[in-house]
Amino acid sequence: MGLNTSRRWNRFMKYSPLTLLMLPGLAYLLINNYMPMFGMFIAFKNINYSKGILGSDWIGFKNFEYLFKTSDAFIITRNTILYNATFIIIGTILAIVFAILLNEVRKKVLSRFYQSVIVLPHLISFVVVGYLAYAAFSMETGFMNKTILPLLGIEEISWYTEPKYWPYILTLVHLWKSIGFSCIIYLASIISIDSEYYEAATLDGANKWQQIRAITIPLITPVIVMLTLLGIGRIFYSDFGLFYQVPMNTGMIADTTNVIDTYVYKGLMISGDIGMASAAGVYQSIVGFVLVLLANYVVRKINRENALF
Amino acid sequence: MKKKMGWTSLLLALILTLSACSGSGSNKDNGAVNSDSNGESSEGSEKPYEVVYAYPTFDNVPVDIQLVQDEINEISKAKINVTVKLMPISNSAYGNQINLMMSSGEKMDMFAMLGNYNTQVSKGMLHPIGDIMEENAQGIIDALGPDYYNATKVDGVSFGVPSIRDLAQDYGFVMRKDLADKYSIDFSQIKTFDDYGKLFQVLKSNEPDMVSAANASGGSILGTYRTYDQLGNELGVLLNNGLDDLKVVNWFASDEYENMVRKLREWYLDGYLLKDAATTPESTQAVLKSGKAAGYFSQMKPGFESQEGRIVGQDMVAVRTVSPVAKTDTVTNVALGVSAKSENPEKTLQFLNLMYTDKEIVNLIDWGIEGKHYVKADGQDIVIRYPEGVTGDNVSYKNYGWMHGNQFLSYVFEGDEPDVYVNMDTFNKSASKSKALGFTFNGDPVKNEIAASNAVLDQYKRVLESGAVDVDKVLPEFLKKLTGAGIDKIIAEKQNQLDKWAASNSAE
Repeated sequence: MGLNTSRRWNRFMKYSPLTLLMLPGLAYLLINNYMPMFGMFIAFKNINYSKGILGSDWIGFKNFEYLFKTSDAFIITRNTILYNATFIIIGTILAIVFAILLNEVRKKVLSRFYQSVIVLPHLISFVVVGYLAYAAFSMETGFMNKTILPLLGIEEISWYTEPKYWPYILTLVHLWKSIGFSCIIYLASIISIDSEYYEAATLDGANKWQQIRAITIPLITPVIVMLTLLGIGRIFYSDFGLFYQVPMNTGMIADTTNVIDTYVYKGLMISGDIGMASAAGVYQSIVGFVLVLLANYVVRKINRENALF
Repeated sequence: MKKKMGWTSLLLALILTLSACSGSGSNKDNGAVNSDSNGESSEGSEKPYEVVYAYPTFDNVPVDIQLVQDEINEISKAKINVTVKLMPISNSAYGNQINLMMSSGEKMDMFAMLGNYNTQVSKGMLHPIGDIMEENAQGIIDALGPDYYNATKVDGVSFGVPSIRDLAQDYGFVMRKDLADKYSIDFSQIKTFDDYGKLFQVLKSNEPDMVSAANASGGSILGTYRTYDQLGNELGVLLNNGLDDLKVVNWFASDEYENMVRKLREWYLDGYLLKDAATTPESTQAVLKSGKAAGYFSQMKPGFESQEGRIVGQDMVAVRTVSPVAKTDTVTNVALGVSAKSENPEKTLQFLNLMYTDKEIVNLIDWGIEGKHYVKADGQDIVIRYPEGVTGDNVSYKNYGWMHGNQFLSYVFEGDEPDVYVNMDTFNKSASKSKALGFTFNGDPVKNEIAASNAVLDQYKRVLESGAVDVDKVLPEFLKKLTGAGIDKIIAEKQNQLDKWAASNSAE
């Protein structure tokens, strides 16, 4: 026992410089992610500033009620999950496709150029993206209504009052904006694959498609699993910028554009009740947490090595 | 040796992190100690109390704010031994900042509220200044007059005071004067909401490329045009501006509302209204400037035409179809209050009193320093203009007279009618008063229902009131969702509070 401890201690000392390297990251996590968890109790309080946050009255689950109050509760939950699921599935597939294609571009200059073009939208603020979309879909001056649709001989469409178009528009905008970033992560892991595998495969007469299926995909599977799990963990959060700025907060299309985050914002913008806002946050993180555990459990059942923990 | 170093630094890092965690706590203690010593010294001897005054700004922080503050302090130190620290906060961040300052215990004594007086009261942000008003700020009560002062009372105590400006509102349509003259429009023909259709028809037939009405910035065509007393939040209102009775009803389910949105739909289909009204992020005035629209509905006040005319850059003319009326909301719209966390509410209130009674302080806050930021117009006592070489764009101090205390003590800027404040005073005094003037709704017991209903309003109100959708289809849907969100519960609660308020009022 004593011997065991001292050996462990020695090993720990041997790697202590590496452990030290971890410190800044740990400190960041502690300050940014763990300390705010203390605030979870705000969701169960009726905040009164003259009594102070700790001294305010406990009110149980009352702050959570408004989330489930109306028929909208179902709509916003459905929208949030469906949109995010779509984003995860299509986003992952497209990002991998782009990464593989980029990897096949042999000219350095061209490859860099394509990468930059794909990543560029990621750097544009959603406020600007919202206006770009408005420039396309506006009734009076929109590019779609004034240029594209007349060319095709189609009647003008009142985009901002027709809910049915928005799932496509939002998915398109999301993919356009986010694909570049995840594509780069996949590209990085593809580049790090040892080229000997491909050489051996070429000698055995495997074509490109077979190489991709038998070498590239299996070797980047851990990265795919990790990114997907992270995505699932945030399935209950939605990109506020996308769902608030791009539809220009228009009421008539709320059935297909309202998600939990925008609903909370619209409901509390006037009263600014921090208890109710925290309640929404707590609800989202707990469901996200459970989903990550579940997804990881499923992955572990299928293939232990690919699981996160 | 090397390894030991590693461990000590690890330990050091841990200690640092821990002390960072506890940092906020110990700071607070220090603050408390400081404030105690402050309080003692101000009682006994010379040390003046510093009032921190937070307010929203729609512009950059003025360059010369420190200079102006110094001038104010000279006067206030001599009069009540108080200095002030002006703290303008960008309007977009204002609400959050106030919340943060309150919860973190940052020093703030006094703050301005734009349209959220009753929520701030129910959140416990405000000191009940009514209790210490008479001793410290009788001047404010005198300047406001009993009716308007009483309008701020919640459960018999005032938590804040409105700035003195237009405390009542009338409602109507404002449009470009050149068009009105060109087609010799007879405004006396327009008496009701429906009559606007005739005006719009004339405009449309003469100017086919232009719509008659634009939407209010970020709102609907109807915008701030109101014929009801909204009692704090529009969820449960008194019809006819509260002049008839105290029966709380659902405005959106009323016949009047249905008629209005039907009319708006009609006008939309006739091409009288801006097609993009339900979505456009552009400001009303920008739309008018671009020549796309002729006018818009709005709440009004004396001098409204010239105010809007300056922003649009053209002469404007207005027609009013709802006569002036004072409601709790029109009064507490812009209010000033003492923070619940203020260390010295008495001194703070005394400074606030100066903002309602001291002409010099009011003009310093509103306009800056004479000779530097403004000069008196030739031969005029109360009319001012910018000094040579200074314009509205480059003046190094700017503020908002309607926010800071008693605007009627403020100078009039050249171009406005010199007697604009006299007119406004008459307007305030002669306006009819809603029967519920003075009633402030406490939404706390039904806050879940309010949040849910607000989300519904956000979804339907703007499109319906812009005529952009089919009323037959959308209005019933809207009402159904409102009922689902619990508007009836809000209305019942409001009626209950209103009845109690009325009973205690008549008892007094």
